[in-house]
Amino acid sequence: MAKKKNIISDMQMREVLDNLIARSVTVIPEDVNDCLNDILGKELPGSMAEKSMKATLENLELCKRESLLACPDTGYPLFYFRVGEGIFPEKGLSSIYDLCRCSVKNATENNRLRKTMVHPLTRHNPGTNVLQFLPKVEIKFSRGIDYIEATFVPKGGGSEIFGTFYRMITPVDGLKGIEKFIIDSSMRAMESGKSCPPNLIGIGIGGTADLCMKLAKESALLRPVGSRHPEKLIADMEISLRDDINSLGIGSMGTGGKTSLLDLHIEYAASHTAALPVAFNCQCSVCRRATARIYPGGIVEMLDCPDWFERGEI
Amino acid sequence: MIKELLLPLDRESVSNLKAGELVTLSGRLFTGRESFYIRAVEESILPPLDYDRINVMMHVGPVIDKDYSGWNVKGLTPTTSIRMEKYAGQLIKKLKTRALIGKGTMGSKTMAAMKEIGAVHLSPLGIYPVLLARQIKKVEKVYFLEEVGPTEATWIFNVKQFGPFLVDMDIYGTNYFDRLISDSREEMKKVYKKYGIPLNYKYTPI
Repeated sequence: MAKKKNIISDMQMREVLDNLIARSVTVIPEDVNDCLNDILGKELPGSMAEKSMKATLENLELCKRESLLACPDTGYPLFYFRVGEGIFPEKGLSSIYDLCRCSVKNATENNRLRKTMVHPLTRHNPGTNVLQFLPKVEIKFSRGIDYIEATFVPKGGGSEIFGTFYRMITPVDGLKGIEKFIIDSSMRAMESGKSCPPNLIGIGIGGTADLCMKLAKESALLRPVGSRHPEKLIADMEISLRDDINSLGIGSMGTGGKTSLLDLHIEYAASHTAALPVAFNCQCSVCRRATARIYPGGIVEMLDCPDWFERGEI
Repeated sequence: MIKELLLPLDRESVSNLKAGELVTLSGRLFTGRESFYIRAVEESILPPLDYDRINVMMHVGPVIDKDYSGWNVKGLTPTTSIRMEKYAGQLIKKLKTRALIGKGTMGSKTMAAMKEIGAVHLSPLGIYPVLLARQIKKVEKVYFLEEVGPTEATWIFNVKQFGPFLVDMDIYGTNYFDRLISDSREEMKKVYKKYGIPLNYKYTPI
């Protein structure tokens, strides 16, 4: 019996996932909301960028108050789990995949998620958002925690379609090559508002092509605004590139303005000695995510962001 | 100041619009995105509309549901128009569409068609899907719902003071974003300089 308290009931798992989706699409994270308000405060009164930010923030306030969709493009359904030691869902760890599919299907039926995902070639839309390999479910096993941490990110199309770039650079092109790639990609993504700026830009450096892009995506989606990489070399790059990309004056929805970025995050992995891959992936201005930690005994803690990189920054 | 436009649009009201102005729309418009263009151009399948009387198209996939009172739009915000660049020019010439509403802006092919027939592109100022949804007075009809689903279907909306939208392409060939983009590209040169990146930098080919 003593063991039972480390088992999370199937019903509770379902409930938490349903709540996560509902929360993520209606209430944007506090770190994002605060940052958007700061950005509004810095824009010139009467400027197009100020009008743009104001309109976006008014909508977000309304959505929060009345539980409405912050953006109708609820995009790609993405789940990220951190599973601690000695804690299990009632129907086993593999039940997590089914639970995610089920909650996405329910949320789509209830119009919390738009019917967005289609077969890539036939373009058939089953109306469930549950298709080949989607929702994406990423599971990490974590030492030293005794809870299950679940995160849902509805990733909008604009930021994914127009804000994804990858380049294999040779080590002789080095840091300068990386910096140029990041500056050029930012311009291409954000000009005329394609990626829905202000964006949170994620950069991956090193690793294999898939790991590189995964790091870019996860650093954009799963680190809070204002967080810095623990290594000074990387943290300094984050700050310097963020400020310099802001100076391009792209602004909210490309309307011109002082701030184009919520933040810029960089993660890196070891690189092959002959390679220097770099990836760019950005998140849009509403930057939706919601996290819940389920502890033994069924206590649930709601958060705005996971501790995905396990730095204890949440 | 925000200009209030009544739909359908005529050539005169469109020719009074200048890039950089803000407008709202009142009247009937139709929606469409990739599926609409692909079907219209490649398969010659078009919803049977009177395109002289309904001549504003919005690139959008609404969140919409149905209850006893009919269809209700829960939220909608224009989707990025540049994805439609391949076919938009030829289609607006054929249908005499006077305005396209979509996020961002469009390219030179669409601009040429817009100059030729007298049409504008309108883009959202920010992200305000709830506001826009509430300006829809009635969902009048839907086409191709079975074939392409609700996100890609062609909806007929009757809207009142719908917007605001920014005129980003006018009939005189001015694109509001062009100046902003060229300003940003000038700033980019300064940023390159700071990082020691020459303007003619070339990556080592691999």
